[in-house]
Amino acid sequence: MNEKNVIGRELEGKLHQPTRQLAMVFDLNKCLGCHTCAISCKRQWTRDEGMEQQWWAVVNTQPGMGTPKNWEHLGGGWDAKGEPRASKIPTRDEFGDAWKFNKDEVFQGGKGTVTYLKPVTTKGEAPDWGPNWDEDEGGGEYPNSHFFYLPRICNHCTHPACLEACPRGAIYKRADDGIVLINDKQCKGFRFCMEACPYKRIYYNHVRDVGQKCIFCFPRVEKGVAPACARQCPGRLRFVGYLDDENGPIHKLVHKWKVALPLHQEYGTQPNVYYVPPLAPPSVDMHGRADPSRPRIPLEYLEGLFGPRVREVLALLEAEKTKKARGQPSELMDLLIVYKWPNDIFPDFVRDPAEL
Amino acid sequence: MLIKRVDVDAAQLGDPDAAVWSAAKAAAVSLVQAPAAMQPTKYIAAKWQDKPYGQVKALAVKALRNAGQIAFRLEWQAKTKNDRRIENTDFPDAVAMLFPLSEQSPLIMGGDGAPVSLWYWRADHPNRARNDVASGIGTSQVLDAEAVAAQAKHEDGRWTVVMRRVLRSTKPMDGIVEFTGGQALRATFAVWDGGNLERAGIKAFSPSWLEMNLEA
Repeated sequence: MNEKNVIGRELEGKLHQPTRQLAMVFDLNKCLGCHTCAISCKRQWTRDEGMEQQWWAVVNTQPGMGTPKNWEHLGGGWDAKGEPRASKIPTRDEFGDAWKFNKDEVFQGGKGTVTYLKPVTTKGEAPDWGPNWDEDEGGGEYPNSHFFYLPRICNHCTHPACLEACPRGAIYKRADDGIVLINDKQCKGFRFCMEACPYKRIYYNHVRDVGQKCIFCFPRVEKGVAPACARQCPGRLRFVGYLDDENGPIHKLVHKWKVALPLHQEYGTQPNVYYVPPLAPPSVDMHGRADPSRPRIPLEYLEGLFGPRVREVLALLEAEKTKKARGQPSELMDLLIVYKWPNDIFPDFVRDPAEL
Repeated sequence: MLIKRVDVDAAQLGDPDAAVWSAAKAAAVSLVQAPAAMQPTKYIAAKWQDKPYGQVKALAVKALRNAGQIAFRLEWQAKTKNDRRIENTDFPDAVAMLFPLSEQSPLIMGGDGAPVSLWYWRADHPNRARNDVASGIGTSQVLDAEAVAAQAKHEDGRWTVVMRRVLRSTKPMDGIVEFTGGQALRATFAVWDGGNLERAGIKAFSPSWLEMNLEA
């Protein structure tokens, strides 16, 4: 017990915080849903046996069920009184398994004319869900159908429910940068963290019998290289930096301009990934007439994800966008445009990984 | 309980169905639910405080030795056999023995400076048990994943597991329990019902020592 990390824990009524906190801001107006973040993470970290079904970085279509399926309704995190909310372990099926295909049967087994190439799960069943099963379905009715993309990673929370749930003290939050890590030598695969995390971003490795999740690419970060998902993002929408760096884009977007909002802050874990909410075109009627007072993505829906400040943030984004279009200066638009990559988007982590 | 010395080979000693075990006398060890208030984290306590767990009430314990080895035969009621670990919600059934490594070792997972040695068998690895050492709740460390040979069967709604090891460990180190003919020893026990998602401190355990004497 004495070895348990206290950072991120509430002891004697006080929440112990790291000296600095690394954070990310995702500008949802730029996400094109290409999944390059997910693939770059996969290539870097989750290629070993037992990690086939793990996607530490995912991109969900919203409105949608997400990854794992229906995760927003599984519980976890803290209630308004700071008490843990009961939850359940998300299943392999809910995450979406790594499918295998009957290639031998079709290509070698002489059954190419009587059967077809089809996926099976680890349990040998035909899948009825996958990590992006409902991709691009979205919500709304024609002509106001809508969707946007929501990239998700571990939120490296300030008050991590996973850390506090672990009976072994196997999860710790680093004092210098607030990255939350699972010590897999201490982990015994009990999976309480998977339940307690309200964002359901922890996977179970069945081969090694341990929990695993996004590590904020700490070995890269320690060498001044941005996390793989951020560095490889073609949309250049993933800002990385320290929350307290007043000259950096994270501080400016979160604290100065206040346009980057946490996802489901009511879960109480104080996530350190923030989102610039998506602007939407106006609703149209069956004759194609636009109603600028009603954005096509309902505000109530966005408020359900990013909280009550959504309206105010979208209005500010519109106002600054208009200013910029008129040729007037806008620090906020310049920040979001990212004129100089990589310096403007992760100024402390510009080193090219190829140079390592 | 006297751990009798019998003249059988290791294979028979390790076989839960071997005739030698029917002659051995069983100790009926009572088990109770490990209290929710004793769970090491708020999450676990809150989640389980109103749920039934640790409902296995009794464990039948037999023990024998031969010239070089000691074996414990543990039998308990388990209506379902949970030995898979494929889904994230699969938790295999398990049983453990706890041996104190000092006079003062608390029977609940040991304490600071008063460690305990644990033999832990789990149904997804039915043929071996591992040896852990612990100095308090949440501190157990695996010392040797294959320290103890095991043989198990699930029949008529009951698990029977035999754990067997040489009296003097082949890999002696701190935290490994050693046995000498003629000595007194004691142990406590724990049972996990995997079908009820039981793991870690969510278990049934024996709240008092089973005192044993190892025949010389």
